[in-house]
Amino acid sequence: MKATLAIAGNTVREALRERLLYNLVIFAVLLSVSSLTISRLTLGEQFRIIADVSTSSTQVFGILISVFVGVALVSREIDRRTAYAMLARPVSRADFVLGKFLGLLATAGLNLAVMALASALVLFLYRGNGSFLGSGFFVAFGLMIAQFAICVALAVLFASFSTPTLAIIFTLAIVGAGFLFTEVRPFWLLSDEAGMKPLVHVLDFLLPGMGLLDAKEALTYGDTVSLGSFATRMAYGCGYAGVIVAIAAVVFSRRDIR
Amino acid sequence: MRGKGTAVLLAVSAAAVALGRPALEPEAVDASRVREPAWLPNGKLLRLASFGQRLLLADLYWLKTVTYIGESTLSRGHRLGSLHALGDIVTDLDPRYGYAYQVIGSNLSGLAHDVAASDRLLEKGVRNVPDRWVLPFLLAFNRFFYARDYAGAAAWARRAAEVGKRPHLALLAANLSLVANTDEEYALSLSFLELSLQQPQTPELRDQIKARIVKVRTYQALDAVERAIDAFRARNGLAPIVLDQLVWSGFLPRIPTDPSGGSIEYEGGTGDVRSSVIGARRPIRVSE
Repeated sequence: MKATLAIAGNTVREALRERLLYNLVIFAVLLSVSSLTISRLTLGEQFRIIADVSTSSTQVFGILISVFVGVALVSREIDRRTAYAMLARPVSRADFVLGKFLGLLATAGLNLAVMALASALVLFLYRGNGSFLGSGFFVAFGLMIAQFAICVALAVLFASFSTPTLAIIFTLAIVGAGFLFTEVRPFWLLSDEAGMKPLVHVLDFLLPGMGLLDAKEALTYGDTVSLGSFATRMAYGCGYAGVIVAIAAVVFSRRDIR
Repeated sequence: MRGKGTAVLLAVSAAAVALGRPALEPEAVDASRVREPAWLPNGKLLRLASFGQRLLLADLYWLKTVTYIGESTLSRGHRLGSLHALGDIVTDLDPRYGYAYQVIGSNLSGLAHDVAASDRLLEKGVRNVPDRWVLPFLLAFNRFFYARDYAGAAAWARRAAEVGKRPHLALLAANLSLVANTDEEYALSLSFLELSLQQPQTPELRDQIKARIVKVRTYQALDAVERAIDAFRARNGLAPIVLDQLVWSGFLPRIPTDPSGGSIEYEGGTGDVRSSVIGARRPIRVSE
């Protein structure tokens, strides 16, 4: 566990040296701030425009950071053979994978905190008070960490056995499929076609239910979200990420990296 | 040499601007023309492909809609042919976008003169955002003002009053029922007003609702007498001299009492009936 945490800490330090990370975070923050101007173009409903732009930019850039930085850091360790030095010590490959995952997740969490803070500041500037800081705000941003956890886990999995380009494509494809599946699921369940319902139930477990972890609407409409609902969704997201990390550990343990 | 070259460059550039700008006038006029959105996707398909960003996409199409309405209003006479499609896209992407239903729905009927499309969008809004009272209120307005369907307008106004917990709208619904002037509408209106009276109200509003109940009952009584007079006239070719003739001829079981506390007055020559307290039944007239 000590080794895992050391790898995680090292991964955070390494990630914070990535220029791409800062570019994306700054762009996301700028987008949130620019929503103040964008909202002036509308007729009424300024708050929802600011809230939507802020949450969407946080989510999109958070996912991109998780995927790109995640793949880059794991692939680089293997390509430059810096991982060998670590694996030559009494550190299991599973520890290495878990450490990388935890480090990347901590980095994603830091980014999320920065972007959520920027969004809160922008919303505060618009409203002039903190009335938006209800459960909707915390759940909308809080659940994003579960989404990022899934993205990081998938990035680590694919980076552990394929090229960086392919790893990015695979990860984004599965995350995209997760979002798409949330939208088509109700239609498929209504379908009369035989075999559609069992397929939906299989995909429920295979694909990440990104839509289930997407609570941006709660901030937009000021919905109250129960602690139970938040905890269940968080448990689902973390559980899904955990399974992917476990698979990544198995795959990486069996990989011949000579 | 360098100074001469800069002067030549400046002269050539200035000449190009001076000659080119007037030639671009048609393009300048064309640029300010209101354009129909080039291609509008199906909102449901767009939602499928939104990858979790449907709220943001709904906002983008909403901004496009606001610009489209604004440009069309400024250009005067533009038909707003794409407004319904834009409204559908916004509300397919975010079915809870209550303000979009409200603004696009009212502009569809008011500016685009497409009442059927406005009704469709507003009814979709009522299904998706059932607690937004302004949507049934706008439907009541469409029914009343454009379709002249007063019973329909009264029904939507009652729904707005119920949903929005706005008892003032119960008074409006009662007025619309009076215009509709049917037995069913009188009955519906009375039961709704009595229901409204049971809710907690300010004393002023309570008095207004009570007064409206009396008015509806009086109109109901006057309407019953007027219909009996019409039937009498149809059979005998002239109006009765006294109201009692309606009872003797079997057109009325009895002369109704005036719910306003006065008496039902009748003018034999003209066949006009009125309440001694609130006067004749004068429903709101909608000018053509």
